[in-house]
Amino acid sequence: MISPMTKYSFILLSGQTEEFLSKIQDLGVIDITRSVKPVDEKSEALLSEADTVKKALTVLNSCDAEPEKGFRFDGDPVEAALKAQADVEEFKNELSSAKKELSARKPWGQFSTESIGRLEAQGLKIRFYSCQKKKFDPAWAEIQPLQVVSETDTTVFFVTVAPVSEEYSFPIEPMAAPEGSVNEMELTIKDLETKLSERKKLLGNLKGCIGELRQRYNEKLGALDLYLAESATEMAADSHLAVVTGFAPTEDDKRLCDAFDALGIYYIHEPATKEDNPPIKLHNNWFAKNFEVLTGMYGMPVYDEFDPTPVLGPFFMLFFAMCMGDAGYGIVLMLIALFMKLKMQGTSLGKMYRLIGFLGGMTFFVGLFLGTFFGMSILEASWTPEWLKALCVDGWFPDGKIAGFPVQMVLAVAIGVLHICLAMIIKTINYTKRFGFSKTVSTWGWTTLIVGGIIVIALAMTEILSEVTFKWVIIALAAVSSLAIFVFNTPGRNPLVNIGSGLWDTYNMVTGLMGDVLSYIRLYALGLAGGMLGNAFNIMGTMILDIPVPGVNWVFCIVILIFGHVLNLAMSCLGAFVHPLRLTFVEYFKNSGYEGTGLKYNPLTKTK
Amino acid sequence: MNEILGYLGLGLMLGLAGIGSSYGTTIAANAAEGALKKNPEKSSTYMILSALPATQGLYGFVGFLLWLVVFKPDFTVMGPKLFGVGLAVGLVCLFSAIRQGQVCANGIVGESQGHSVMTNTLIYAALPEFYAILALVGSIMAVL
Repeated sequence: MISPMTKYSFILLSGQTEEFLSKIQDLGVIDITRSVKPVDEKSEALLSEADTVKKALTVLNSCDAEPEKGFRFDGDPVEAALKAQADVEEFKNELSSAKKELSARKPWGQFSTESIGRLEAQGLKIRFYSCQKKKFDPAWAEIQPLQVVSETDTTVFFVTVAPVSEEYSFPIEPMAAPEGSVNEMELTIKDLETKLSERKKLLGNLKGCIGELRQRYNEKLGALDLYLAESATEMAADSHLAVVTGFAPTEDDKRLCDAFDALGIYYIHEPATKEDNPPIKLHNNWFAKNFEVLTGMYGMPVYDEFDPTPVLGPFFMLFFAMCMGDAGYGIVLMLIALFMKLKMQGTSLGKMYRLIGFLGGMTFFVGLFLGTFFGMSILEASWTPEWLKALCVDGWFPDGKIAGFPVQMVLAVAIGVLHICLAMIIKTINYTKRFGFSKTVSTWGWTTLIVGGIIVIALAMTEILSEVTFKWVIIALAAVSSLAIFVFNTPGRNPLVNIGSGLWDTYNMVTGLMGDVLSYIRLYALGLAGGMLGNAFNIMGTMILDIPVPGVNWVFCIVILIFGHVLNLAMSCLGAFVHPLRLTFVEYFKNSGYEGTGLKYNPLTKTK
Repeated sequence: MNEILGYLGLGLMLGLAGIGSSYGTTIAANAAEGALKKNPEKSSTYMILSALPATQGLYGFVGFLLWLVVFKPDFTVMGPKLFGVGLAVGLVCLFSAIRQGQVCANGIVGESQGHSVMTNTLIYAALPEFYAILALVGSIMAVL
């Protein structure tokens, strides 16, 4: 349900704007229409400051070390945290390079770079070589004075000494001389490790400032919000007056009016209309509330539109459960929800425990109905009691088929038809409420024809309606609908143009509806795929039991089963989340005429 | 020979549709990876759009399942027909999924740049999918 909104218009002196908006922030319920993105350099700077604090928070939250008791930090923790993190990254890179350099220097052992420098000063150049052992020729010592420094299984490292003044030649090319000795590099590495450890310790200590940083972040966001609200005020009377417009839920009217009266400012308040395009605050019961996040993903309804959440919730749950299609996975999801409730209360993911619990519960019941438990068929398993087998829909029909098609496929398509019919009814009611009957004659015609036709056919198939009655009802439906669709779709317009428009509508409706209904086959396909994959892992696990080593075969069997079902659960959850959402967003919202272009209610508050 | 053709058609229907979905989802997911760097807050939108091209693979799988398990057409008699239909379904799903992936990728890029294009992208992405649905219907009608 959409909460009714009251529009407030304030007129105040331009110099009072900031103070007034600050008081609005304290009240925390008025949504001042403003930009959500920075509008100028100052707001960019405010956002940048908030982002900097957020980065520091991210750095500190990801640090493993714990703060020491009694540690106090007097400087700016944000700057310190970011500098320490940058240092950590730099030292890690230097350490990695240093370790590589150390392994390059190790063959040359301990030597003094000063000694080499002194030799060069005396006109003797030392050249460094490495070559494969099988290619090394000891006779090279006759070409130039040569000393083997070290050898590995494959490589020989040696040096030559020759006067600089003499012409020099050697069968192989020298390599770059090491810039220092092993000893020097080990000292560098030790120094880097010490510095790295100190920075990590500092980051650990700065974790004690996380609370302060969170508060600072909220203040920065609040300041940005205030600035954006101030930027959005309209100026009048040569910028002497400021006009501020905002919206608040009607339930807060009394409290707000009392507060504004106490402030002594001039204001007008009136019920918001659809022309005002007020922000939308959804107000649903304890069940539908959990699905508001899904509505938000698509977009908020406009003010005079319907809130799709109460319908979206149950159908999303059903589609999710059909796509998962396994009672065992439903139990696992409910256990995950319980874990989230007990151990993850404070986190944003933890707040979704109710949603996951509902989805798990529905999955459990639908899984029993569809007859799958951790990949095993409930109907075929020998250990399932008869009353449980009686619940499985496949057992209700001979061979598990209706008119030659699998029961579950027919069920998926039938649910799709129901979903779309519901969407069309909602569209008809909503459009009539918003635009009036005269503008929705065609919509009424299509809904009467399709929904009415399906109901009548269903009644005829169940023999509630006789053949003769069915014939006449269908003719009447078709006649009335045809008039609405082809002749009276736009009252007052040329009937020939109406007929043309009706024909175009018919083409769109036929092709669109067929595609939309068949799209629901994915509910069957996903559930089946998940069930078959689970079964495949069960088969693999039981094959492992054939290993003739008691104990070991059970261990491997259990490992495969756990690994396989966890993987299947994760993949099924992803598909079961995305595809029902797609069915809702595309098929359902399209047929229900949902626009979803409303603005989300975002009151001006001090903390975000 | 008829049987070989029939099974080839069955395999092509499943295989080409799956390949198409693999390509389509990868194209969209690659765009999502880039978009995450720019605007990570809309990750759920990117995920939904990336998963859209997965549908064609499902349709190929449903057709495969219906032929193999439900309708069980006689491959020795209907081999050439099954080959033709299976190939057609596979090719339609292949190209439909790839093109749908490209549409979704553009939608993801648009969302990451701050434009609210998800709703329209969902509608545009459903347009090439319609032909994959038609192909699935054709595969069912061919064996009825």
